[in-house]
Amino acid sequence: MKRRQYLQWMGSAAALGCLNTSVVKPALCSPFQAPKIAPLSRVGTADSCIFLWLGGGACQIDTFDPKRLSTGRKDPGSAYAAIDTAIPGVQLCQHLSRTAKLLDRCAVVRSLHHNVVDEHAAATNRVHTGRPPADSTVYPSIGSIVSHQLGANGDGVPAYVVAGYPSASRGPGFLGAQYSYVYLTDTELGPSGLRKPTGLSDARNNRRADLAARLRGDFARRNPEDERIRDYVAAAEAGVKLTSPKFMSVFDLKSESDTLRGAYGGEFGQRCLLARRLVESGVRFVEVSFNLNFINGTGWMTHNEGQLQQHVLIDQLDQAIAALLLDLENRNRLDRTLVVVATEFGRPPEFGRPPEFDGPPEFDGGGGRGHQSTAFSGLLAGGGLALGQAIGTTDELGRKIASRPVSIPDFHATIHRALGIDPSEELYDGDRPVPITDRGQPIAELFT
Amino acid sequence: MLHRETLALPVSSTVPLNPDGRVPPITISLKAGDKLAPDWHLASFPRTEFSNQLLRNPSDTREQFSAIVTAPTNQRFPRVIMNRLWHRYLGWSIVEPIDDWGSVGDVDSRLLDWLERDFVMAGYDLKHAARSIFLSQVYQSAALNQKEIASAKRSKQLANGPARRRLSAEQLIDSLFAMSGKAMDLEPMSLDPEGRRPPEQFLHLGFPTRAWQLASTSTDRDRPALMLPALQQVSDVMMSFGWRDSRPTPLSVRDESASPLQSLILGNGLASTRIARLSDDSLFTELAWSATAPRELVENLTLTVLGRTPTEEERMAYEALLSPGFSSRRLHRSPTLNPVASHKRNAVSWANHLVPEATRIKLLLEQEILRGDIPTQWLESDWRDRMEDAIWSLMNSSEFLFVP
Repeated sequence: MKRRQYLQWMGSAAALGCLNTSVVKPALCSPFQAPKIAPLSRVGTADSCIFLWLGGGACQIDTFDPKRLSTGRKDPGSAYAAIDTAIPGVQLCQHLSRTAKLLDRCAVVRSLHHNVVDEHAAATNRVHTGRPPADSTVYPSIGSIVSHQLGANGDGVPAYVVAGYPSASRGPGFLGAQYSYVYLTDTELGPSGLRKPTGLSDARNNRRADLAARLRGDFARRNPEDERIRDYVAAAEAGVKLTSPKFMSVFDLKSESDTLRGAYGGEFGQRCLLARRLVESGVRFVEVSFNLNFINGTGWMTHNEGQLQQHVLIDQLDQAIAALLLDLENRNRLDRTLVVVATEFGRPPEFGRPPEFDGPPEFDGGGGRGHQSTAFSGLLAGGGLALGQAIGTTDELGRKIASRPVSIPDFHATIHRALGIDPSEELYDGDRPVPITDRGQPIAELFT
Repeated sequence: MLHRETLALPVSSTVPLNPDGRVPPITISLKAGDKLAPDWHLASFPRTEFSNQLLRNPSDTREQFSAIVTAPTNQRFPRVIMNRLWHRYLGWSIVEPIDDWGSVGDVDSRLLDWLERDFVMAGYDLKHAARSIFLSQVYQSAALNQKEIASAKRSKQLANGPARRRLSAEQLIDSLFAMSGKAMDLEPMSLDPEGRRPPEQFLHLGFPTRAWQLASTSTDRDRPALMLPALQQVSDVMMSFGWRDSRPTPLSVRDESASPLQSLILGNGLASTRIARLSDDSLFTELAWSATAPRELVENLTLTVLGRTPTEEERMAYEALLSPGFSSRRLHRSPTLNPVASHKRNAVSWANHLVPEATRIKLLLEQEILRGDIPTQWLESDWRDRMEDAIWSLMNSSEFLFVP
């Protein structure tokens, strides 16, 4: 392994090698034309991305695309009333009141769609990788692609961090383990790989580290001609730097004021605060998961009783997004940070069991909602985009897209463009070229 | 080849005609729906050579093909296998690349000739072939670094020793557990890598006892109740060392680049919480208990972990660490405390994971895994801590990763 490869991991921008191309898989891209990206007059100014993941499938008509109010969950419609926002003519659910006031810093995308509706893991995979799983390779997630294209934004920090559980959908696929993420499940403690094991005093940690460092040094000295040994010893030493107090102090949320921590709210909000600190320290892509053990037990998967407590969930989301946007703005970082809110699919306007949902009966006998992927919503904020607009419209109950569909590849292409990544790039799986998105076009309205 | 019958060409296998009307740079000779009949392309191999003697169904072309490949008259098959085995055990191969001889053809090699014959005469026995290689002088010679291997290759010679090679991810994990004498004790693996199977069809791969048995934890649903913390701790280490949890394409040679995360994930994770932890069931605990002098202990410890005796500096450093309190280290050797009950690992499954209690159980389990194995009460705690640190440092010395 060459030294420059792990330096690349640490800080410098990745350079794409030029390899021979072979036949492009027809299903992805016509070999006669590279995806034509319409010329855009504006490029995004983001240098990092905070990707908020609403795991479980957030209902779009109860959040970002409200419709007429249902009466007591007997007829189809939104569960909550709608309120005006800072964008004239655009409304949000009443429980997103704080975000509503800041919506001019956002673009609401209401016409997201894909065709994976039955299974959460499959839909999660689709929204993270932008492609159906292939039989011949494993596609990388958007976070890994960004990490691969741009590297970390500083020294001694990882490029890609996940505040959530490790999963293949978030992983690097064919790009290789180098472009994987560091993950943490406990905001206070930090990433499990990077933090010292529980119950060990500083004295013990130092003693271990000293002894191991001496052995490594001796090992390298006894084998001066062996490059592999040199690489491994150097990598281990670089690892020690990664756990330096400087980077680990990013996880010390107690150094933020109580008022600010209070503004962010509960566990999800604290993760958003951590995400801000991570991008400030140079992490390029942070995915923050709204885990399913927050508040109502089932999270955004609002079947049955989950529906009853959904407003508590939305309120937490509202608090966190608003605090994050204001905090970034106050620190002059909003233009340089792209904030994305995404979910695996939406939900239909009916309560109870809609005919098209063939899940187990206990899932919606109690008046919750099923799954819907034909139309759902996402949010983009910051990043120097042309904000303060809603993209795409849906029909009167949010079942179908009425105008301006945005595919998942389009959504990804928009994120790439905002970060200064060329959406017509190609990745390489060995020597096989794979377009960076599956024919996705950035949302032109956001780059005018 | 799989079905040995006429196929209709699927739409996804054709190149779409360009709607712009541009002249395509390739000739499109097949249209979707075209019927393709199977054809025998191995003209140089007589079809009827073994058909009546060895085949159950002499007219089945796949059986004919397998008979041709495995017949003793086909020298390519055993040569490819022996070349791969050689690469696995010595870290360099006689023919390169090991998975594609198309560009090099066959290589004139008396070594490969010998290995081929030895293998075939032993009835294609892989264990016999491995034994032949292990008993050879070249395998037991001093290891060479990559520069030396490359230099031999350039002079068109065979290297006269094995390459120094890094443990594979599986070898690393198995070595760690074998060294400490501990059982893996992980959750049962029920998986669904891409979320494509309904729950009734999830695969159940049992309880892993060796590293090769691990597969993806498939945690895409991001639900704490579906986490497998014990398994995750091991698979995190393996993934950082080049193991793949999902393998749609075969790989003959894994990516073995060094990365800063490897030492961190191993050192702060599995090495600390389990392998170096002096629990009642650890072989290291037994080693520490039964040693008669610090010198002997240090020597045995270094031999166990690194397979060599300590250097003079190492001897001095570790004896200085372990001598204080050595003579009073032994406390009462009470019966072994019950380990964390394994049944707790299995209390949550797909069927009950949405119950709030399931999440609570999993989070508790995660905390237990992070705390690690319970340290033994047989040894005085301060001395025990120093002993653990000694074990940990040897394991995280980078030298542990390389053989020989």
